Amino acid sequence: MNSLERILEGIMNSLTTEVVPRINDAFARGQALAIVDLLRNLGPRLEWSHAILWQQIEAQEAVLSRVAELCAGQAIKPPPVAPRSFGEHPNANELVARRDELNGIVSATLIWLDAERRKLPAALASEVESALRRYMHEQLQRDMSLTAMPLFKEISKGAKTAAT
Amino acid sequence: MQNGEFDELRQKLARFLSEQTGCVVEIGELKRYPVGFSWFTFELDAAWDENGKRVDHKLILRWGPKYGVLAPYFAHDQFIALKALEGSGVPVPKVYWYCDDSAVLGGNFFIMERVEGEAALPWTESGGKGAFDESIRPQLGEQFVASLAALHNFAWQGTPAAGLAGAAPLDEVGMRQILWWEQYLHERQLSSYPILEHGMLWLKAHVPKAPRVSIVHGDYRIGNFLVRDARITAMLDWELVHLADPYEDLGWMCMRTWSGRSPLVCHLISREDLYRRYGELTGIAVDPAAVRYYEIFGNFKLAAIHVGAARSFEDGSADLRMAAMGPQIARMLLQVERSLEGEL
Repeated sequence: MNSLERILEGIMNSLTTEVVPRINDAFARGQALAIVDLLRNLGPRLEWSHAILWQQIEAQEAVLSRVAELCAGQAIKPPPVAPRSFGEHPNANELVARRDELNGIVSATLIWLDAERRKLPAALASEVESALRRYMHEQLQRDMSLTAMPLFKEISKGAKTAAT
Repeated sequence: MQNGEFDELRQKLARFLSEQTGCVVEIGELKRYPVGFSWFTFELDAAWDENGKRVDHKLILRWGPKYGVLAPYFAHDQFIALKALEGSGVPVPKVYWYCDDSAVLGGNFFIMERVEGEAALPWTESGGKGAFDESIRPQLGEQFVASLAALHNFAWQGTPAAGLAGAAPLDEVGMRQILWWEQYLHERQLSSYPILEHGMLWLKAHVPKAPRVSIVHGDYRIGNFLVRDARITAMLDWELVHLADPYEDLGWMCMRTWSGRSPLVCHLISREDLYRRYGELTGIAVDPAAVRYYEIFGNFKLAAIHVGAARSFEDGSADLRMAAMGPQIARMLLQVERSLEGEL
């Protein structure tokens, strides 16, 4: 998903350069320009939901902590997790950065497990894999709960109406 | 692209065509199609002299934008593949010129004939109704398979199509594609996607040996062919054409994404009939496990393409459709997960 800043900028740019010049009706042009005006004022007041970002970060930290705990007595260790680098009240950009950092570590842990699997007891390797897969599955469920059905058909046809 | 840029593009195109034909070329208005999420497609009418007579031509300009899902865009591979396939059993539009010097039109491009027909989309009104009328569906299904078989039977060795990317020994050709898409994903992702890393590890560990190396369309499915009078008039969108395991096309077209709620592959043909007919026409006894492998790979590629779309928008694409694909990455990841778990 794109950054919020880029999405807002892109919507305003598309409306002013692609949409408004091709609308024949003056009232409809006014409506489109009102959206631009609103977005210009909403932009500085918006950021991604902290609650959603925190939920993912906590789930990521929990699974990585569980993997570290499972591998505690082993000679080979999973990729390390750095502590949070922000203060008590991080902004959304800091949370996004932390989420992305942890996504990278979860991926690195999957690759590590694949490479080192034979050096770990089979049951332990399975348990690590199960924990990672459970996290991925639950995160996908959370993400899907936020995702509306796409309007690709309407977009491809340039339809005049769309279900919203 | 704004109205002024359309005019500029039209003027530059007229100059290019005049140079190619050696006479003054007149071009009507460019009309951009809303379909196609990658190359821009423009319809145009052009006229120039042939043997002392003014002749009208109905053309399509395919133009690669600077930012796009599969940028940087080059026309060479599509052009040589389509040129090589002219006159084969694969219905392809005639291609006339290509240019991979972006200074000429502001982006690489090629020009081809405009074939009559309509493209059906995989997304039907209710999700349940088939995309084709039952009176023509079986004929189209047969043509759809026959065209694919002709493509995979095409003897590309010794033709310009031998210059396409991807050729490798039978036991390496599949892995080559996995590595290409791995690199694509890693270059484009705005954040790492653990489920895709997980999928990639699985794909690398299970890649099957190819039965042959064929020209592979890369996006062979409903939505990428034109139909007129119960006949497939042209297979379109060859931007992913390459040399590879023919199962790559079979797996891709069998993906549920292209069927909606229809039980038929691409709303056209049952899986059993597809395997049987394709086997008859190619001599390849279809291995369902290999199809399944390439369905999983297809879901991975589709997810990677959505990731690439979001990246192109972040990098400067003005096309909001690219941004709209960003939130749908989650849906694509779910498809990857389900296909890995055998749920699709």
